[in-house]
Parts: sequence; structure tokens; C-alpha cells
Amino acid sequence: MGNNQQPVLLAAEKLRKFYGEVRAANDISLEIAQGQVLTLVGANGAGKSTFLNLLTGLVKPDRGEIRLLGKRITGLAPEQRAKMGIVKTFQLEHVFGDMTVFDHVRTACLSAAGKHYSMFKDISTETEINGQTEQLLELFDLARVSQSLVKNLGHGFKKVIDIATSFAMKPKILLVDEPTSGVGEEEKYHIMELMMNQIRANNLAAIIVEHDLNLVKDLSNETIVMHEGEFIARGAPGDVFGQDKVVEVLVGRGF
Amino acid sequence: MGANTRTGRMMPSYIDDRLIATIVLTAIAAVIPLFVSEYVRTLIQRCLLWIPPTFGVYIIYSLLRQVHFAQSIFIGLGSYIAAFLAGKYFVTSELLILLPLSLIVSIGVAYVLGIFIMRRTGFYFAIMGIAVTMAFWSLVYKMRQITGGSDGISDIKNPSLFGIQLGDQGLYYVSLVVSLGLILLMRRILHSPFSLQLRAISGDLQKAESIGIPVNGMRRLAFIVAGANAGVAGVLLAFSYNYVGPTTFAWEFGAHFVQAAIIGGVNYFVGPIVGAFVFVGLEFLVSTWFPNLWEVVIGVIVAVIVVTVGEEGVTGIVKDLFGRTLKRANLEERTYSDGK
Ligand SMILES: Nc1ncnc2c1ncn2[C@@H]1O[C@H](COP(=O)(O)OP(=O)(O)O)[C@@H](O)[C@H]1O
Ligand SMILES: [Mg+2]
Repeated sequence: MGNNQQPVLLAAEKLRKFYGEVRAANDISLEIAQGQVLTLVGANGAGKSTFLNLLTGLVKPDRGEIRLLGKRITGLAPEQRAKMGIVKTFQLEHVFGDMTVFDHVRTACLSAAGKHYSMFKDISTETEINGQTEQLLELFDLARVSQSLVKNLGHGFKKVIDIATSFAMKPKILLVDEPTSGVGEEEKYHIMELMMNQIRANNLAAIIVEHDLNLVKDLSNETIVMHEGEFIARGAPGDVFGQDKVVEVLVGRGF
Repeated sequence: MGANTRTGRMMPSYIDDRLIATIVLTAIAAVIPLFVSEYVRTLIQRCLLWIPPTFGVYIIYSLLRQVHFAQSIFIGLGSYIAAFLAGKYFVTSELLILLPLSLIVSIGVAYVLGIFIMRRTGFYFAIMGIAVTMAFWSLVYKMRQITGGSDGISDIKNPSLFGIQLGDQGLYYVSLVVSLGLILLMRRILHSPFSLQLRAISGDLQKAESIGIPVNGMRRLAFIVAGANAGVAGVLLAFSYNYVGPTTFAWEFGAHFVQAAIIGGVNYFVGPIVGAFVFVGLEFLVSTWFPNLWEVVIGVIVAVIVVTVGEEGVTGIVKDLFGRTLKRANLEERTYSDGK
């Protein structure tokens, strides 16, 4: 893959974010093209989540720039960036627990269609949105729990719901923060497969944070290793994971 | 997932239990003035007019999980608009002017206040609501020349509609129609795309932002919807009481709508309606027998409800008592729609 001939979709230029003494992002730069799938690995506290949050706007950088298709978006709010196609799923549980699975995904379909202020329309008459929602639930194998409350479902379900909801935004680039953390072995592969199928089918760019190095090898042939807010290695997982400095930060520090 | 009644039940769609219940209750409210004393009619009229502002509190709580103490500002605005234009500086008493005017003023004021009040949540939202209300109160209190200060403005004659002077009975029916219209409108709004996204905001703020929901703008609009309800009711309340005073702006007055919403039960769409009737009814009964104690009594009732049934309120208690009958009548509609 590594579509280097493709135009750059999203570019980070020397992004910096310090929390006091902690260098969560230390002048990191990255370019990613449409259809390009990168994995991001690193020990806990390496700065992976911070980097993704900088891209979505949930964290404001101390300095540096972010561009989408060449346009500067550094100052834009998360909701504006989401509309432009930068969508993230969460490492920790961030779901609308009191909603049904159907409503959870439908919320994002409505948002993507810009129907925020539609107050006087009965939601059941939004046939196009409701159809889209049903389709997404099918794609992510959620149709059977469509009417369950999200809070009553297991952790694995919530991860898939988060991912399906992100796809409802019709993203250009998907940022996926540890989609399988806290999920059992078997479920893990199922979730990854559902997600990767959709990423490929829609030719999306993606940055996936993942701890399971075997899984990382399957996901993409391009991985980045992060350590103390910096990218210390980049390349094919097979090559990168053999390098001494990578072994030291991933294994030597109780990865 | 209890309320999936629409899709789950085999029933011809044109027979809607809820519609029947609405028609029956409306019919009762429509004929009741013919059978009761003037005093009771006025009391029912006040109950009806308490419903819209209570719905405002209910919307802000059930969708955004915030406690809205500032409804008295909008009741006050509506009431003083009526008192100035139809009373003190007699300009017009035409409801077709007063009601839209109050609506517009309420929307405008809610828009401006919402810019900063709706930036806060939880404790700070509640406190800011109270603080802003107190500012309005003291302004009205001090601008004696215009507002009559603590004396207020009394002797507000009945309004007219389409140029026809309304009697007390006419005012009752106008109150009924306005209240019913706003209830139906609120029901529509609660089942709209707008409301679903508000629930996302209170469900998980970060997730809501990350799927492109304009959090601040939508919160502000919810505040406007709540305020507009109170503003419209305020006009009719002024005529109903024949008097407007600065206490209309008092934060304790705003707190009454929070109490009414709690008493009714914020888990149910009919909660604000039940709450308005129970609150105003209790206020009347208790203040007749123990004039100095009624706020204490209401306070105790609210405390007992919060501790025992919480968000279920009186509606929940009644539902438990008459569970089967109500289930058949399909009145147990929850705040949130499930599925389609
Ligand atoms: N809001 C915050 N305030 C203070 N320190 C933070 C905050 N967010 C992250 N950090 C610190 O920044 C570093 C990177 O965190 P994070 O990006 O979550 O790492 P990772 O996702 O790779 O585990 C950690 O040392 C963490 O403690
Ligand atoms: Mg992390």
C-alpha cells in the first residue's frame, strides 16, 4: 500500500503538546494519504492518544499545524473537524449509554446530514436517515441488538458501536484508539475484521493504535513506534519490531 | 426496553390510545368550567398555565440533564409585557399582539443569556440561573417609576382576541388552547432529530463533539425553547392573576417549576402536566389551611419524592398503583423514544 503517489490527505507539522514536564507530543510530523492505513504502537504514556486527540481537536497543541487537503485546520473545534471527515473512536468507553443501539448510530447519521436544529420534524419520518442507520447496523453485525440500551451491552459491543457510529460520519480518515483494549481474544479479531473490511471497502485513511503486535502485523504493512512524544521508528512491522531501540521501548519497559 | 410500543403492537395505526386519552382529557378540561365554581375554574386555569414553563424545566433536564432555575425570568418578561401594554400604559390588550411579542422577546433574551449560561453545566449552570434571575429581580424592584417597584402593577383587565374582549371564561379557553398547543409542540420536539442529539450531548460530551454535534449552539437552542414556553405562559398568567409584581422574577418562583417537574416525575412525558396540577393544587390547599407553611409542605413533599421514587415522581407512583389499567391506556410513554 503506502500510497505515496497519492496527494496528502492529512498533515501534521511539528505538533507539540507538553503537560508540565511531560512531553506528550514533541514536535511530531506526519503525512497520510487517502487509503493509507498506519498502525501506531508504543508503551503506555508514549503519547499515542494525545497525538490522535491533537488531530481531532480534543487537545489543543502548544504549537504546530494541522492541514486537511492542504487547508489549515489547527484552530477548528472537534465538531467542525468531524464534519470535515476526521473522526476518532475512543480508547476508553465513550458512548451514549441511555440510548438504544439504533439511536446511537442514528445520532451520528443525523449529525453527518447536518440536521442538528431540526426540531419540528418527527424523527420516524426521516426515512433516509433511518435506512442509513439500519444499513450500518447490518454492516457491523449490530442489527440483532438494535433495540437494546447501549449501557446494558458488553464492552466489546460498545467498541463496535463506537466504530459504527464513527462510520456514520462518512469519515475521510479514521483515528482508532485501541479498539480492542479490554476485549477478549476472540472478540478482538472479530471487531478488527469488521472494522478493516469497512476501512478497505471505503478506501479510508486510518491510524490505528494497537497493543497486540501480532494483530498490528495483519492490519497494515506500515507501523510507527512512539516513545516519549516522538516517532522513533517507522516501516514494515517485521523490520521495525526487530530494531534494538524499538525492542527496548516496547519490551524493556514492560510493554 | 419498555416503550417500544409503536412497533411492537399489533394494532391498526389509526387507533392511537394516546390520542384517545388526549381527546378525553381535553374534553374534560373543556366542559369542566360549566360545572364548577369560578374559583375552581381559575385554579384549573393556573394549573394549565403552569404546564408550559414546567415543560421547559423538563426538557432541559430530560435531554441535557441540567437543572433550570431561571424560568421566572421569562414568566416575568411575559407578565410585564402584558402588564405594561394592557395595563399601565394601555396600548393594546390584543392577545394576537401580546403573545407573539412575548415570544419574540423571550427568544431574544434567552438567546443572549444562553450564550453564557449554557456554557456551564451541573452546579454552575444551576447557580448561574439563580444569579441571573436575581439580577432581573433587583432591576425590576429598583426601577420603581416604570415597574411600580414592590407594589407591582395591578388592575390588569382581561385581554381581547381578534378584537373581541374576553370574559373570564374566554380567558380560560384561551389558556387551555395555548397550553394544549404547547404540549403537542413539546411532544413533537421531544421526538425530533434535535432532541436525540441533545441526549447525545448529555450522554457523552466528547463523543458528541467527535461526531460533529455543535454542542454550544444546540444547548442554547434548548434554553430558548424552554424560555419561550415560559414567556408565552407569562402573558396569560398576568391576566389570570390581574396583577404582576417583582416576585414574578424571584428565583424562588423559578424554583417552583423545578419542584413541579420533580413532583410530576421527569421520567415521563406527562410528568410536567401531572406536576403542574399537583403543585398548584397543593399550593392552593395548603396555603388555604396553613398560610405560612405551604412552602415547607411542598419542600417536604419534594424531598420525600426525591428520596423514595426519585425521577419517577407522582406519575411513577400512580403508574405503579394502576399499572395494568395505565398500560392498557398506553400512557406510560417514556421520555425517550426507542428505535423507530
Ligand atoms: N490531560 C492531561 N493532563 C496531564 N497529563 C496528561 C494529560 N493527558 C495525557 N497526559 C500525559 O501525557 C502522556 C501521554 O499520554 P497518552 O497520550 O494518553 O499516552 P498513550 O495513549 O500512549 O498511553 C502521559 O504521560 C500522560 O500522563
Ligand atoms: Mg492511550
